[in-house]
Amino acid sequence: MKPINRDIPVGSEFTGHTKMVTSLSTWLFSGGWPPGDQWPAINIHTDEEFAKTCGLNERNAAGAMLEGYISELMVDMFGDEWLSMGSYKVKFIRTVSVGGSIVPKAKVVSRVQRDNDLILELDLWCENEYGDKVLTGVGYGRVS
Amino acid sequence: MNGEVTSDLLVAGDLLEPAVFTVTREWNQSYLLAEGDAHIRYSNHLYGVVHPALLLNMSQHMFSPSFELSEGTAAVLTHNEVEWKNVGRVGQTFTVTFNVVSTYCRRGRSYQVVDSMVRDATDREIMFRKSTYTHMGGSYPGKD
Repeated sequence: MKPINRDIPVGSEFTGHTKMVTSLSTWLFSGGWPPGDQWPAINIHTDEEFAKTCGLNERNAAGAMLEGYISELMVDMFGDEWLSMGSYKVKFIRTVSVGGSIVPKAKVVSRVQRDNDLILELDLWCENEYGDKVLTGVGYGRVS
Repeated sequence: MNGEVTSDLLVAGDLLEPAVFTVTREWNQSYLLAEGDAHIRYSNHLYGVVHPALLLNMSQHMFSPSFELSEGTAAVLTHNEVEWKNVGRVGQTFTVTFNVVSTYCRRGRSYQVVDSMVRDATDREIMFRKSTYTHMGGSYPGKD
C-alpha cells in the first residue's frame, strides 16, 4: 500500500490485507510462549470446551489479534512513525470465529493542521467474511 | 492483589503486579505468523521492530503475575484505547504496569477499566492503553 500524503482528501478509504483466522494463527497468538508440553494454553481462544463453559458459542480470535490487523493497516498508511505517535480507540462488537476471515478498513473523516503536521482522523473497522463489522473505532495519524 | 480477591473483583485504585518479558526474534516471528504480517521491518536485523500485536497481547492484565480468576472464568476485552509512544525493539525487556481505574455495571454486566503502560528497560514509554474488560463463565467441568 502506498503511504498517504498531505493531499489525501476526506472520504478516502483504505483496505488492508485479508486475514485468515485459522486454528494455527489463534494458537500462535493466544497459546502462550514458549511452546511446551502444555501448549497451547487453555483459554477462550484456543479451547472449544472452555469457550462454551464461559458462555460463548465457540472459541474465537482474540481482540488483540484484530487490533494487530488494524495496526498493520495504519503502519502501512502512515509508515513506521505511526508506532511512535499513532493512536486509536476501538470496541469489539462481534466475536470472530476460527475458520473465518477478516479485512481491516479505514476512512479519512477529518484533517487538522497542527503546526507543520497534518493530523488525520479515520474511522476504523474490521469486517468478517460476511461483510459484518466485528470491530469499530477511530484512529489518528500524523503526516509530516 | 491480596491473594483473596480474584482479579475480576478489583476496584479503582487496585494494582496488579507488573508483567516483565523479553522479546526474542523467535517470539516476534511467531506473532508475524499469527498475524500474517511478514513486513521486513519486523525481521530485517537483530533489533527489528516488535510487532504491535505482540505488545497489544502481552500488555493485557491477564499477563500480570498476580492476575487470577476463578476456574472456568475468562476476561473478555470489550473496548481498547491505545497510544503508541515509541517503537519497541526485539531483544528488549519490557515492563507493563496495571492500574484498575474504574468499574461500572451496564445491562447487568460488570466492567473493569485498566490503565496499562509498557516501558522498556530504560524506562522509555512504548505504549499506553486504557482497556475495558468484562468477565464471563464459571466452574470449568473439564478439570478436576
